[in-house]
Amino acid sequence: MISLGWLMTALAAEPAPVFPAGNPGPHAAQAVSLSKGWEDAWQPTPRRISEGVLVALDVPAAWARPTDARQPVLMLDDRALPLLWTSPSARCVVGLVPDRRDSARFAWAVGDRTPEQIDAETGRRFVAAAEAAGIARQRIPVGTAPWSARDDLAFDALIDAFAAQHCAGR
Amino acid sequence: MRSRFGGHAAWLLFAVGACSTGAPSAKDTGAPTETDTDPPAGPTCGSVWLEAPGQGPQAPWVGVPIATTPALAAHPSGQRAVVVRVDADASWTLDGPFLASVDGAPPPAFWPGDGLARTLVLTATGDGDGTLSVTPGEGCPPTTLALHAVPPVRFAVRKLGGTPGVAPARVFHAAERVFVWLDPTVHADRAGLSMQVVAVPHRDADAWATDPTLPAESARGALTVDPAVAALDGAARMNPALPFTGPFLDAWDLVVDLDGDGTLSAGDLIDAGPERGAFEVTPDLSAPGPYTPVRSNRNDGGWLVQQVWYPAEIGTFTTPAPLVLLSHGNGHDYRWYDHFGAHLASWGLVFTSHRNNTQPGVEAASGTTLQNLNHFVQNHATWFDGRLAGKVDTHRIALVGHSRGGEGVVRAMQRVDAGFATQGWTAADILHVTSIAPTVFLGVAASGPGSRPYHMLYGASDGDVTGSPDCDLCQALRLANAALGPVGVTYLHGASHNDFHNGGGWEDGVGPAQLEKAPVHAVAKATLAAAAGAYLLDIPAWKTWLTVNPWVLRPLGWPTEVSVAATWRDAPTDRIRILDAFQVETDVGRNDLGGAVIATVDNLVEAKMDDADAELAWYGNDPMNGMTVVERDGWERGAVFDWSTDASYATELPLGSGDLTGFEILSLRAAQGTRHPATAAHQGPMGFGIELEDGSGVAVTVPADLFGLVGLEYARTGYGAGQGYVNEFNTLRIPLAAFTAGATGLNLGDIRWVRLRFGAGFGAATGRLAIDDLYVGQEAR
Repeated sequence: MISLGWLMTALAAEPAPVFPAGNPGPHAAQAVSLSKGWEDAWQPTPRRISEGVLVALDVPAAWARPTDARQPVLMLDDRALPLLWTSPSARCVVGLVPDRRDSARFAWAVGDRTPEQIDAETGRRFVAAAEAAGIARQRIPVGTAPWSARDDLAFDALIDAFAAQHCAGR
Repeated sequence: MRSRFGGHAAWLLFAVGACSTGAPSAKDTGAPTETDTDPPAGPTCGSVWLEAPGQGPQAPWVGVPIATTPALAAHPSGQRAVVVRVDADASWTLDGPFLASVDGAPPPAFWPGDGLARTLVLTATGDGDGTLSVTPGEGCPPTTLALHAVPPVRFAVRKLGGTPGVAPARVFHAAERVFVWLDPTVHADRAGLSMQVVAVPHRDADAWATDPTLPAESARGALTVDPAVAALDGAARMNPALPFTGPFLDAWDLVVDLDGDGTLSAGDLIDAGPERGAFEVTPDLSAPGPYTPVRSNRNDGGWLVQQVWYPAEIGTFTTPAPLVLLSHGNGHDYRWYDHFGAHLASWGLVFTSHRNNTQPGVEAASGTTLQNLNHFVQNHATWFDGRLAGKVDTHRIALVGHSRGGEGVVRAMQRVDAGFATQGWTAADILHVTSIAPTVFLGVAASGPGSRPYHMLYGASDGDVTGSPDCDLCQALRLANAALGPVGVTYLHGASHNDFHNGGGWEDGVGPAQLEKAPVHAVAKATLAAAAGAYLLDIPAWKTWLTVNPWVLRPLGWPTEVSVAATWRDAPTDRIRILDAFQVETDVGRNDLGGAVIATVDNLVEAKMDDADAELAWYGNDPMNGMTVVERDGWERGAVFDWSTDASYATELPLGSGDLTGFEILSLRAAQGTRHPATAAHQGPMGFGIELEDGSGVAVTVPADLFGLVGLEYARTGYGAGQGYVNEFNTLRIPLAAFTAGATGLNLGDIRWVRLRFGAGFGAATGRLAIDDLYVGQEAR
């Protein structure tokens, strides 16, 4: 009766692609160093991120909706990652990958579950589905000199600067 | 004569009783009365003259009402003056719920037989019968007046169609005409008389006692009571429109100045209401208020980022301004709600919109809602050069959320109720919550509004939180239907998800007659202001505009191109009596009171209101087709049926539940059945008849469409064949006075049946309807 539409369920039930065609990866990445850290407090097991990578992703037009019911979700293994910024057109988003070593290992999709509703089992199914769909993980060159932020205000400014640089006009 | 409203005795209805001697009474002569009696063999008896000042020489005695209201019970306006003249020493007695006085003092026990006129003023102290007896000489037969006191009758009415064509009303908007109506079946003594009706800014009883004058500049209307027409012919229209004294509260008393002396004097009629006058006039709540909105921003990093609106004049406020906090939705921005912020600040509120962590989900969003509220309450005094210090009432707070933020604000309240650490405020300080097109990710168990006053603004064209039967998290109406407190829904045809903010984003609207943002904002602003007035600013009259059926009575300022389905349900604690909410008794032949249900409609089914599949097309196998108000975790049940000829649905009020005299309105909500053949055949807003039948078999039917219509569903397609989106409930609130106006004889103290009557004679000749939440309650104010 009700479409839950997330991941495998969505793949099976909906003709529209769940994974971006051709796996468009991030078109820009920037290492960040956060003195105060950034906590993904909404996770079942929150962690404080102090060294990570900001990534800018192009959102396919079919998904380009700053929706409340559906949204692009960035995944790393079985864990949903934070999206920190969305362009007004929703065609470009900025996400935070918790570790530089992980920056090549994420995949993403759109669904009608929020990240906080994705438990480990759901996340594992996501990754499996991505692999089954032939989604190749891409390595994104990340600058060696991380941008640093001492506090929340500085991190906000850093995100805005990154978005302005890499999402302008998108 | 039956009372039309409960309450203290306020009207006196005098009737002359037959003298024990059989002498002609005033009723017989129709003139100031001299009653001659044949002297008995013993004593010599004098004569008694009685006169009612202001009635004129032709006025009959029978049916001479004198008005007061409970608030004015001690004032002469609530008294009936009777001029008594006797030509022989006379004694008098008075019994029943009445008091007498002369010149403000108790009358002497005996009247000297000097032939002089003395004014005896009678006051009712309660409902009931009594007698005034004047005995002109010891041993002589008395002249007796039978007295009858009835409760107060309200004069302020709203004009309707039909007969009697009026319904009592306490709240009018600034562009409405206020009508005054004296029921000629009650005020027979006024028959044919012309009198002035004067509207005076509300005074309490003490103020009226101090100053009974009727200012010359008051709004006035000429009133003639026509006993032959219990209709608007007997009403006075206040013309020109009443003058207003201010934007917030205009409360007025109405005086029928019978004797034209320019004062409220004995024999005049007054309606001053129990608290706030005969009626109140509310402003255009979609328009800016009297204050100048100012915007400031505060960024403390992370999620503690807020855009604040407040009145420029806030420094002069002697009473701190209530606070409204808004939480945006996913992909939205806290700076996209300036239209709401400026509007509410113009009405004297402080508004803050904060950055909301919606991306992870509703739980995270509710967290930033609470963090930002804590942050504002704890720190606002130091912001903006201290301009808000001591000027924000952090114990009178409303929350507003859009989309994920709309679910987040109700989720936040559940977290507070569960022990979230508030800082400087408590759960009891959140007086109202509004969700705009909310998601339902977490379900109603986690995100239900609970018992707080709650309102929902929602668009039928929403292409994001679609409300469609195939997406449970998109069925925003689930939240409203899970509310346990007073709850309203304002559902705009043609409004999309992103029409409610003023920012960018995609155009998500689906369906015909798409609205621009401006008209959507006008309705939303008026609704938010009404809720703020009712729950934060202590202006109960504004609540009226959350409760009306806008197919018939539209709030002022709503653009004409906006079609709105609206529901309102009072809280169980709001002095209501539920007749049938379809929750307790699941047998279609029984209502929640245990009374019988007798129906001649077709295909009657009572069940949980949950569409059974993912389509809206009518296949004939899903009675709850189009219902999206509840899912697996909800409980709302209702009844559905259809008809193609005259039919009825009658629900019985068992013994002990039929006394409706303590109630003012009969309320129910109803929705047409989307894409049903009967709906398609009718293709329009729907009316029907509502009938009350008392224990004596007196039945009165009122056309429901005078008070509200059940609109046709928004003409959106998809989800199977056909046209028409999800079922839209509309609330109809029928004044119980409409069933008794014109002396119908219906006994509201002993109602046995509430009957819905369908067919061409009552409205739609054919149709499909869902009904729910049938109860009696109180007017909104």
